[in-house]
Amino acid sequence: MAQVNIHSDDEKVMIDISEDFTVTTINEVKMAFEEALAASNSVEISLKDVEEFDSAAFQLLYSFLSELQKDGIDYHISDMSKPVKNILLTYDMEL
Amino acid sequence: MDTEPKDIFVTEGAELLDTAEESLLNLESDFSDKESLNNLFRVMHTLKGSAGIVGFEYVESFTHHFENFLDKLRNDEITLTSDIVSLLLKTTDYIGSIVQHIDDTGDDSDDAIVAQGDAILEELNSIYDIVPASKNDSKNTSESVDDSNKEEDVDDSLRVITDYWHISLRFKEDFFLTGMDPSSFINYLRNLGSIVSITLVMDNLPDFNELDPEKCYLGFEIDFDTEFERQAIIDVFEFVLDDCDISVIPPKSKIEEYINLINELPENKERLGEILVEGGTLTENELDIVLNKQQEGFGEEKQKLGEMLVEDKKVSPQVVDAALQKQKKVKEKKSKESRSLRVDAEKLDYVINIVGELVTTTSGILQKSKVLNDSQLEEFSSNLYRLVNDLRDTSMELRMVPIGESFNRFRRLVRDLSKDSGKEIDLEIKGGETELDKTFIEKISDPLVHLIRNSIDHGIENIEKRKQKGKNPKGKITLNAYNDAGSIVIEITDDGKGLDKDAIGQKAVEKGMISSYQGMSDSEVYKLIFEPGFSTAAQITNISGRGVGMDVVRRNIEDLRGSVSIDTELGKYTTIKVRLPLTLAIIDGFLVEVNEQKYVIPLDMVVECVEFDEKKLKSDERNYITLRDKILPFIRMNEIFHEEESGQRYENIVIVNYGEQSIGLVVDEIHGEVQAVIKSLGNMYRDAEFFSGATILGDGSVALILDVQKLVKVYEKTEKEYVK
Repeated sequence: MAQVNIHSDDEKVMIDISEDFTVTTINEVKMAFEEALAASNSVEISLKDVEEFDSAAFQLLYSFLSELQKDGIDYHISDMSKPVKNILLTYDMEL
Repeated sequence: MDTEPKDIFVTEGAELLDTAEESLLNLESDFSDKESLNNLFRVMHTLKGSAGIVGFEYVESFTHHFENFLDKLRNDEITLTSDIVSLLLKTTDYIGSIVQHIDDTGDDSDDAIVAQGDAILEELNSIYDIVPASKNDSKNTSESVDDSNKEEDVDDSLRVITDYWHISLRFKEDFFLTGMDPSSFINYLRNLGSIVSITLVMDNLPDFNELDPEKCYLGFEIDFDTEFERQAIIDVFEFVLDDCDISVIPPKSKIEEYINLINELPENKERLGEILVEGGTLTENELDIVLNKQQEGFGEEKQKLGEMLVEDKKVSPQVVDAALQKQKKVKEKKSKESRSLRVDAEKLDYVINIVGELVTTTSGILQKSKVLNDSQLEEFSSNLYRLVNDLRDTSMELRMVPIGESFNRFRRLVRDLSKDSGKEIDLEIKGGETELDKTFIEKISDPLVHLIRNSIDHGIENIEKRKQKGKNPKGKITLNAYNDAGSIVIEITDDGKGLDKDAIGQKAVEKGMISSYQGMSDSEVYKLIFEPGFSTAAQITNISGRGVGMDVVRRNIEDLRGSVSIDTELGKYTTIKVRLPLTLAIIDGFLVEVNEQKYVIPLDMVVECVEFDEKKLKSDERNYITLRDKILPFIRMNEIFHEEESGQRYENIVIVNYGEQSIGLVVDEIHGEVQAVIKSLGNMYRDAEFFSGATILGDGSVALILDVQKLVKVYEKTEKEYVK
């Protein structure tokens, strides 16, 4: 079960994902990302409470960030949990 | 007559060592001849494998160390020199002596062999440390082989820092449905080694809006450092091999290793895929996948396996090339093998003997059918006779082998003797394809060795003398074989100082062999060197010059119904010409009769038959007739055999040719062609100098086979006496 909280102000959209961010909850997260993208404001993502993170989640996150970059939207990942860091380390990636 | 594994090892071992020696002699002429070096390595590898199979652990261990040394040569870690080639020759000789020991005793080692082997390994070790000191215990063979193998496996010194495996991973879209995560596999990979670099590949990743997040678009390019083999790397992905595309490309040194492995594979796999799997380059699963993919194409669209493997990055192009070369070799070998069969020589002799009996019996049947005047029986007999004729020719051909192999062995002899004598000598081989009865080849080998030794010692001058004479400092010996008028001629020519008629003549007089050489023809004087006890060498050397040998050479050649002659020019050359009959067992003959006794003349020597006309006699005293304006000497056969006049009204002359001499044999009757199975005359007839054997005719009677060479000699002797 993923907990995805989206709240925004005039400047940015904040996405807070917690608990399970894996292939099983991925559609839910994608919907949140689509919402954020539609707002066309800068995006801040918090992954500090993600307890489970897999490659499907990594792929979605990568795709989302690429799309933001393509659209010229600023983004920032405020914090990330150990499971997220582990996957990034495995793939030698920085987000 | 069953062949034991030991016998097969001995036979094949001897053949392999011949090949090794040939490769070494090639290497001596050209140090950069990689093909010969690889050949030598392959030979030792095969010998090691065969020894292991048969259980000759010492040979296995020794050849393993030797193979290590050769590998260092192949990798240019040792620079080849003339001294090293000599050491390698010494080593192959030593292995040859072990093979001989196995043949003699059935065992591959004893204390003396081990001591000799240790000494050779020490010499090899002094050039490159191929045997770890603590492991250099030949008695503990299996352990040392295993340990050395392990040592090779973990030898890091040959690796270069950029030498990594490259893994290409592409996960299929449904991968996430398997419930597994790509990161798990990549993490597990770290248990085998270290990931030097990993690059994420997301070429197929759709735009975010079109992305189906449950589908996998991940791919990775990984540089990986590990000591493990390819299979171990692939095994990491064992459970998901159907759900991802993986290619594992070996490091540079591994590519060379794969190529070497492919080169060293036993030549039993004919398919490219099988060779690559056996060489460890490709897994069976990978092969199946590519083959299935290949099957999807039709006709000309079907892509070649090698191309597909390279395209899919499963195998590097160099390795595919090596495998294709191997495939070509295997095909050639199989095709050659399917054309030839190894048969025990005894079995072959037995067949030829039976065919000989069959020839005699068939002649009898044909003769009898003519007497019975039964046309049908005669026709059947003629057909049978023709078929047996064919069978005889074919079975005789089975014994014929090219003389080239035997000639090649002399390369080593010339090489060693030149070194010993401080001379530089090249050996040229011509007519190696000329075929000769196998028995002759075995028996002619020793006489040829002596003739070559003689050419090197007495014929070819030393470097200084050759320079003084304006000759090429490097001498040359030519071995030449060819067919000539039903005989095989083997010539040994050296471009040395030639024979000195006066020196030979004086020496013969001094030794009391003759009273004077004045009046003797050149060839008569030259032939004195074949007399017992003759030697003109001022110094006795290791090579020859002991005054024994040349007479034995002549006797051995004559025992084979052959002859030896000399052609020489002082200061320029000497050619020793050995003439041998084509075969020992069955000949086509020409049946003649003298005073009611039948004789067979070898048909190859018969030129023509003419009626003997006393009126054409050139002289009353000497036997000459004029034939087509040429003078032809003849021998009255009844005189030779001390027979009384036959009283036959019509005599015939059979003109025979031996070497350069034509001569007529006056006989009473001519019966025509006949097949003659040569039977030995036995000891009772050993003094019957004009006969080389006897044969049983179809009617059961015995006919003696004329020794034309001896008859020619009689003529020459008579002529000489007449001149005197």
